[in-house]
Amino acid sequence: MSRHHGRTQMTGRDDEIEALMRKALDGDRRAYAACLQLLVPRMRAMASHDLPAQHGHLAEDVVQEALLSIHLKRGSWDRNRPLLPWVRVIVKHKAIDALRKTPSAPHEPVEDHPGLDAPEVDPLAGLHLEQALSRLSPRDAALVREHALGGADPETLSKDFDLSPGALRVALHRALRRLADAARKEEEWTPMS
Amino acid sequence: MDTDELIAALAADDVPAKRPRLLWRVAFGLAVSLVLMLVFWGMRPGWPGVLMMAPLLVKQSLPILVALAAWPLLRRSDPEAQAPLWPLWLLAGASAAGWALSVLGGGDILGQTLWACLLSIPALALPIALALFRGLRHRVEPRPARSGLLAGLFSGGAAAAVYAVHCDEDSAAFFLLWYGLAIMLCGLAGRMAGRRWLGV
Repeated sequence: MSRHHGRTQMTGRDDEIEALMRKALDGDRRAYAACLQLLVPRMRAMASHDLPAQHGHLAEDVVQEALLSIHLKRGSWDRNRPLLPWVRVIVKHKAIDALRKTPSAPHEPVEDHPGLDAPEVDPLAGLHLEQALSRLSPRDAALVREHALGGADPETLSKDFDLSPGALRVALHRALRRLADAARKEEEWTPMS
Repeated sequence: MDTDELIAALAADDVPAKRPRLLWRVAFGLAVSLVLMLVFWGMRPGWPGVLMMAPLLVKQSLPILVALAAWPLLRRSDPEAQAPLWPLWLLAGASAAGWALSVLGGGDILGQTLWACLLSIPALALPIALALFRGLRHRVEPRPARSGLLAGLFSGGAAAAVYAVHCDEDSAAFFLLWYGLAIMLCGLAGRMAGRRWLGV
């Protein structure tokens, strides 16, 4: 599953991704971001493989939930084993969960309606994560959003949230934990068909 | 929020990744359980010496075997690896057969400390199970109920071995039945906890 020959050039080789994850586990955040960036196209391919065609629109949600899970459980990955099969297990089970939570109402792909062009970018992508964010406390949600914008200056953020730099780190970590929990919960899941 | 933004937020979190460290956590839980037993229950008089008697040796070692049989099923580095459950079934079958033989031989089933046994083993299993679940939370668990059941059986087995240091009921008809029930109770509780708290 892990080696698509055509894709290899574009998305990095398995061992490159693994080397980045090893560096990331040793505390290299830039390697970590690069590792996740390289994993995402692979994970999209896995998710669309796992989801039946009429539920293809769930793929990005599955990828995002799987990213949260990888982030929180990366410490349990055995460095002596290949990384991609480990990621594969997570994506597969997130896809199963997503299908379980989605009502089986038929989804009509926009492609089936002549005259309506499928949008280039799926406007619903990331909606599931937005819903999970909206279930967090306003402070947790703001913490995640501020860091999501990237390039946020830790000093300004400590001042904005009235937290010491150490407390800010822990607060972000806890907010991400709660985000993963909120994304996994079934309540308030609104069908996206 | 799009995926790139999510990655930025994840990469900003520099709290080091938590490792499961099951062995260390279980060693800690087991130590807590042992100390609790020694302080609140107390060692039975002449404990290591009495182990020379065959039924007591069985009482002490059978729960340890349950824990040892459940352990390799919990400690695997491939999340989807499936280890066979037959060692546990074998132990359950052997215990049931031993119990039947002991009852036919006129063993005392009810004993004097039935409720103390049924309540103490889960109580002593709690520190072990808490430590174990804290570790399992950091792991990818595609089958949470099964992992929870095994964690419960492991904790129950280890706790029964700890409790056997205190317990002075020496009839196989007593301990095979009630220890076994207490361990299964722990397994069921672990199964429910696994469904609730473990996952991918």
